[in-house]
Amino acid sequence: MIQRLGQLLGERAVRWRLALFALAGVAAVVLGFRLFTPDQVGRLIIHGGYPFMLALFAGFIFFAVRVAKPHRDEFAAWLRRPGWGGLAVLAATIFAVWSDFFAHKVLFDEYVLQGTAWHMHATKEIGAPIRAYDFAGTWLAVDAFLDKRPYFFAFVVSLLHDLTGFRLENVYVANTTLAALTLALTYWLVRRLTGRTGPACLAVALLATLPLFGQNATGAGMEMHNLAMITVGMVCAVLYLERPDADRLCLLVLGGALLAQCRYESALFVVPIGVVAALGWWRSGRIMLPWVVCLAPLLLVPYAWLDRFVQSKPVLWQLREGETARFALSYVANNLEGARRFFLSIAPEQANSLWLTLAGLGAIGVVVVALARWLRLPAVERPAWTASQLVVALFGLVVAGNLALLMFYYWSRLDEPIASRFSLPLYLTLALLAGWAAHALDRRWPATRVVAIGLAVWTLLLGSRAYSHRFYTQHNQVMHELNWELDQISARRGPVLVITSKATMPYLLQRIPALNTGIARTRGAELTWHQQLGTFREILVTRVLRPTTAEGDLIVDPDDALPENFQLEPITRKRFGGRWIEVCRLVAVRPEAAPAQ
Amino acid sequence: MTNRFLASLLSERRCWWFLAAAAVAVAVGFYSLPDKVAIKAVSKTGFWFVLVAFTIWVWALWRTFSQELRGWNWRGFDWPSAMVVAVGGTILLVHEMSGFKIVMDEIMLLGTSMSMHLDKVATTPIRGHDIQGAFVVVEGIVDKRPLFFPFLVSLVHDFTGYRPGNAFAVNAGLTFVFLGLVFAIGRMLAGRVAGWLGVALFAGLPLLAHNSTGGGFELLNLTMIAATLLLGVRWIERRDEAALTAFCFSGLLLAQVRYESVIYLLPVALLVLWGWWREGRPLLPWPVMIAPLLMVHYPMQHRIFQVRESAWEMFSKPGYTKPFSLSYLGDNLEHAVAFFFAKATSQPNSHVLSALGVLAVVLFAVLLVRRLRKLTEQTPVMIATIAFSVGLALQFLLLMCYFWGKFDDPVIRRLSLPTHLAMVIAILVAVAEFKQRPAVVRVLLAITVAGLLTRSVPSMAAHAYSQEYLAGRETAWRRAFMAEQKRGDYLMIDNDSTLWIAHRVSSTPTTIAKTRRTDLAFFLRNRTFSDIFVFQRLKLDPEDLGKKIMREGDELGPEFVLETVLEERMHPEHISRISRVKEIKEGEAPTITPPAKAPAPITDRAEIEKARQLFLENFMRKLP
Repeated sequence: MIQRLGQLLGERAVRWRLALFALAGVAAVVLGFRLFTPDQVGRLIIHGGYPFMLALFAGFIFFAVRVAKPHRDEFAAWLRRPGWGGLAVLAATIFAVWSDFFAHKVLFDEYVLQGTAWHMHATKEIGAPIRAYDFAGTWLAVDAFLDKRPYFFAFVVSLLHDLTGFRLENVYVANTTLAALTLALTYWLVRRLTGRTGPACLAVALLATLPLFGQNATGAGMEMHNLAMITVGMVCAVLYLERPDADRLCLLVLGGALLAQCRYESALFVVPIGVVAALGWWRSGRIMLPWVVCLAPLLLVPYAWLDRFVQSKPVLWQLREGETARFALSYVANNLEGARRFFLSIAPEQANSLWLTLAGLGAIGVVVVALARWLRLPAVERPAWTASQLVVALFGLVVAGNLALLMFYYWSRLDEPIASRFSLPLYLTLALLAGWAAHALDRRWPATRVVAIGLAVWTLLLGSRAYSHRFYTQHNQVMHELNWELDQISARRGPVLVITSKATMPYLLQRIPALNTGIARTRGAELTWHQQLGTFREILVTRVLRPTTAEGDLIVDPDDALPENFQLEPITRKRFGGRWIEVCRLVAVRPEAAPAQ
Repeated sequence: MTNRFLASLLSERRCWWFLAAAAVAVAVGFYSLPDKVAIKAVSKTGFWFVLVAFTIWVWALWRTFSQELRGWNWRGFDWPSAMVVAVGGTILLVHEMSGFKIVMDEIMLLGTSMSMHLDKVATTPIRGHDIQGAFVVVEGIVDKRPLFFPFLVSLVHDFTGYRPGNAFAVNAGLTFVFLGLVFAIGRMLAGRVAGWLGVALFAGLPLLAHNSTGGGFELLNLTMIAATLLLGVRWIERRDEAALTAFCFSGLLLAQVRYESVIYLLPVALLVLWGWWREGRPLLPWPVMIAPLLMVHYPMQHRIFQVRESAWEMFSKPGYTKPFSLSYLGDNLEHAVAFFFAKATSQPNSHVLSALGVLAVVLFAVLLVRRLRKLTEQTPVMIATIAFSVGLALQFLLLMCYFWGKFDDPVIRRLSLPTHLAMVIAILVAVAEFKQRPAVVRVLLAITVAGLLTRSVPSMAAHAYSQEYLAGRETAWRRAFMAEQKRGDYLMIDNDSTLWIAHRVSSTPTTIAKTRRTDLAFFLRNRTFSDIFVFQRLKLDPEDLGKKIMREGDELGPEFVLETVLEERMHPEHISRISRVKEIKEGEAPTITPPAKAPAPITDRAEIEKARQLFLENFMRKLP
């Protein structure tokens, strides 16, 4: 091995490039963690984040085209006759989109992403607007903040806005397309693993029938994008390992850098990508270090900046009452219980797939047995792992590690509707493994057929109830509240100003000026001034009413209460579960009792 | 031959297995469980029984037709006949608005399809509310109506999402399928033009148009009769396992469309035996062998008629003591004649079909005697027709012995549809006698088309016959009210609560609302519903103009202070009214009074959450 390593490092040019790579690594550490204060990195991201992302994305597309170019005829032939695989992916996509309705499902998260996409589209800067007004017919954001969420998904949506014009629905177009891409690449990966169509279609079906998959394919969040990029990363890794060359390595590295910008924890996938790059060198017997790879450490600097910025702003952590840290050992027991309940649930309230869980766990068992047998063979007789096997194993380990890490996170009870989306990468891995294991067992008994029949039975018995009720989406009271508030306010003749205790983003995206209740409490005089000026036809207040006893006896939620000198006139009210939303008109702000400002 | 056949029957082990399955089915279905347990079992398992039967049927259809489907060529397809079917179906669908025509039948079927879609149970919802953002059925009962139609509608809900209009979509689709099958029967019996004649006869039947645009199970019943007949023909022709399975399961599903459709199991059995006899041995594929077990829920469900005496609806016709009696025959026949030859403004009939049909039935009876003598020489389609004529005749006889079997009654006339099918088949058989003289069928076709254009289309366009059925129009009126409401979070008090629940509106029957006044006051005080409405019907006193008498059961009592929202006189003698509940009094005191003192503010989040939980639990308990 040492001799082989010596051969690899034998060339002088390689040694120079390795030195350059190391230098870039040092520079990345200095730039990312030492040179700038958190406030400075915030400004750097706001102003430099968009060009960086554009360059990274353009580079990825450039190398993707270069890698794909020699295979143009194969693509054309496949497009002409996509066969059963094409049909399975199309049907699975239609099924996933049909299984839930288009809506913003993880509120705040999804609206902040939408806001960031809008801001990127309009200003080419990173930021999420919190105040915006119509100035002489132009809708302008006057205040924005740097959000904690990685911004690759927002960048993709902003590109769609750039190409087709701004509309909120673009995010659904993006997620539906990404769902189709995920399913297509899942098919491709299992096809590569097994060389057969049946198990590949099975994996696609297992994933598409997962209610959580449909929920996110029709949502406005970044989960589907993350999942699609994981599959993209895996495909890039397989392509590179199968035939290591400079273009494929660049594609892999750029894909990895993009994947790191999908979700907070997606930076972990840099590890398997690094290992794959090294394995490729080992297999090909030469170290390839094109310029893109030499500079690769620097591509991760913006991620480090964003992480540092978030670390420095505890308000962005969104901790709940009584919690002081994002990660702690004390969260584990509760999170593990939530995970058990989620993965093994048969109730329609959970967006899980018990069959995928069982099939995946069974597949892990098959993998363990196969691995044990492989290890028991003499080293010379052991068959070499295929590229796809290596990649699935490496990515699978990272996905498992990621989920293990999430068990220490303060908000990772997977049986909570907001947190269940974190299980998507694991479900993807289980689907891939189930496809492979079914193929491996097919030699002894018709495993693919049995798993497919089991899936059909699960879909009929349990899945169909989940799809028809969609409790996991429908029980999101805040979604219903917000939709109703938006309906009520949009139906009134504008211009109106809304005072709300919820996020202002949903209103701003509908071009309705909005203000937080907390700010409004201190801006009575300004509100009066604009009322006198007639800037707004109406100032509307949305607030939550809560019962104080079993008999009702409603009060205004303390968070939503405005000072007593704010004279309100109720317009309409609606119950949502155990609380009400009331829309009021602000009649006047009496100056005599205005709080000191 | 017969002895040898009997011997082969007895020596075949599968026949004994079939008999054993039938014996088990009878024991379980009729005797093993107490009535209430049996009905509960139907609620939990009914959907799955129908699903299994339907899956086997579809699979068998694929097996028997896959060869032909693979060889299908659009160039060789009979496009002119497809056009005839398309035009016929369109005529039937365009003249009346889609709506629930028979209340409560169609609403109950829709309700069952809703529960099948949501929870895979065979119950009709009677209580349902939006509690936490999703509309959930809180309570349901097993309905007396067989399950195949709601099952089909639930499948459409499954694939396209729940909406009440799916019932109309199913019937619209079935209209074309049914006409296609009628064409196929006609072509087999007497050639292509006879097929067109069959389609034209049905396209000119306003009663069919009325049901094609409704939400009931009549179209499915007709379609399944025609489909089973044609599959019977195929079985006689092929005498193979796939054709037999498709035929038997078609019969099995047909038996689960309408109550009396179980009669058609007799012609199915006759044709199976005929096929075996011709083959010289019994054929019994495994799906047919277990078929009796898939009917177990049917007798269980039928026990509703024992548990709920009201299920026979004897109360709707005072003076009758038995649901079936030969003594009703004479009276019902008079009403049948009155229906077939009534004016277009009073009944949705077709004089052409009635006149030709009556003549043809007589001719068919004469021909039947002749053909029965030479049964082995008959074509497969004639044998199947003869067998099904037995079923159609028995059904007609049964209806004529039914206490409410008056074809000219607005609720009952739909039951004459199988009789219309019998008449059309009789006409086609009669036409087959004139195969050598093609002018006969052409002349009949010309007369039918002329009748369609000059009498049927105006009749369908005016659909005056539907105007006297107040319940149907009232249902349309209430649906229009629902559509007009900007918010769906209101509570409707209406004895037809299932209508509202099936449209995902919270509802409770008036009879229950009266007894749960305090709970309703709780909702009114807390404004948990955007409004509480009540639907009532008033009868105008013909003796004293201006005096209105509330329909029995609609009165809420003086404690409920109502404000009229909508009122319409849909009938000279009746007024339909929707009112808003403004106040509910407890003695003299109204229940919407502000609390004596303002509730104490709570700032602690845990306390707030606890109060919310307490309120929600109380809210659930009080839901009507």
